[in-house]
Amino acid sequence: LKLVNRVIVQLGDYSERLVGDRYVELVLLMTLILSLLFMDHRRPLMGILYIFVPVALLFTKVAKSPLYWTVFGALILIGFIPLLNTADNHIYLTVYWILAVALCLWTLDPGRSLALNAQLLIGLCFAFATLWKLLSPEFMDGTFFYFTFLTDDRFFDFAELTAGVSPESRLYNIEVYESLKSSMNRVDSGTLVSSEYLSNIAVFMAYWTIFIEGWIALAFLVPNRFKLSKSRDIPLLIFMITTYPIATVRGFATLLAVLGFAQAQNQNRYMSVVYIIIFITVPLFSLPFERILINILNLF
Amino acid sequence: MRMSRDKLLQTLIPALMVMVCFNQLYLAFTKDLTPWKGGGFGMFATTDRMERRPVHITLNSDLGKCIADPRDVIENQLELSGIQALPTAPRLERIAILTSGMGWVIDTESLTELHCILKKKQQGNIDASVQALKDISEVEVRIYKFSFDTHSDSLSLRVLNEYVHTVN
Repeated sequence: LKLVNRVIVQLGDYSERLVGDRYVELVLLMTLILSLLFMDHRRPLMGILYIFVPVALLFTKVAKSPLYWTVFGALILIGFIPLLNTADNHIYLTVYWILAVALCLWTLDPGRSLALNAQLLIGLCFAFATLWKLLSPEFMDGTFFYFTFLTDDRFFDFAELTAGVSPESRLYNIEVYESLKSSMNRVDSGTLVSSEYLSNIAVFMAYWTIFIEGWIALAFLVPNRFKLSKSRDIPLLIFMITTYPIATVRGFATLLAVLGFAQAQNQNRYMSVVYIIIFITVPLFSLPFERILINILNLF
Repeated sequence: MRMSRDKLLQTLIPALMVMVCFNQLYLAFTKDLTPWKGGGFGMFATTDRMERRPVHITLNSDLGKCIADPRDVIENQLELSGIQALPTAPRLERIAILTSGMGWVIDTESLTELHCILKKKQQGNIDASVQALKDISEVEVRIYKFSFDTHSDSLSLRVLNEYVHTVN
């Protein structure tokens, strides 16, 4: 308990120092690292990122310049246009964030403007994610997760751990799935092998996702006078900790850590340190937690 | 004055995001854009992903029905992915016209009892054993999406959009 107490005191001390310009500088630094590591690295964007980001990382003055961010943002936007139909959603969100940074640095209080934009981008992202799920009958009846557990390799260990989908079934399912996916095989149907408990798990996961994403959307979009707004970080952290070790989308997790950190300035300074820790430890999300657990359980 | 300018700068990007998201919803419900793409945050909501949209190209010719690889027709992966994400009629028509204008030979290495498989005719290909496709009468381009039934665990393909090009 003494150790926990000391850690909390240290976090408090550190968070107290994260004010004003220092806070903004850290947001900019995290955004640059995010852009370099997790942006879409296809041709139109690659060159812009590889030239612009290292320059700003090397020269702090450049990194703080609104003009730099405006040019960087404009070029990213131009480079992103050919990727509009094929880019992942977190790339869209990263582009919005870079553009928001560019605009916010021209305002009187950049820290406050960045915090507001981060809050709105998180809220809107989860609002539309929840809306899409509510509009999708196959999500609401559990079909989406049921199918995903059987065919998406990121979820295989989770399906084995929670519903007992065997490794043999998984191999068979991949074969069926890949044969239908191919443009040359001309196989037009097949049957997957499932397990008894999978549909219950899938329905539970569907409702859990609606609950947690809906909570984040509401908490981030309601005005600050509402009580719900005071606990914004709680659902976001629960979401990150429960989602990304299973569905490893490191780019999205890192982006949410950056946005979470940026918006925490207006909220809870302790939390800003938690987001920094997540930002740094995102690579750990790639550890095969479920596989480790399966192996431990197999020992008994 | 400065305050209202700041307000505008603070709200411009969230407003842009809302517009893009509604546009994505419109495209997904009216033009078959995959919910996973287009910036509307429809990922992990449906099974209809871009990668699960196989493109089937079939040529009718003197040798009967033969299959062509879409990657031979659209070599740019970005463009092919774009077609899978948003398979509009003009895009499928473009594939069909490009296919009909290309030279094709039978791919003896991939030949199966069920299908006649084609490969792109290379420039200066004078190998007499290679059988070239002549008299292409029709090119069919179909794009499918997955359909999954949880009661029977059966997975099948459903036509999303198609275009048949008759060659004069």
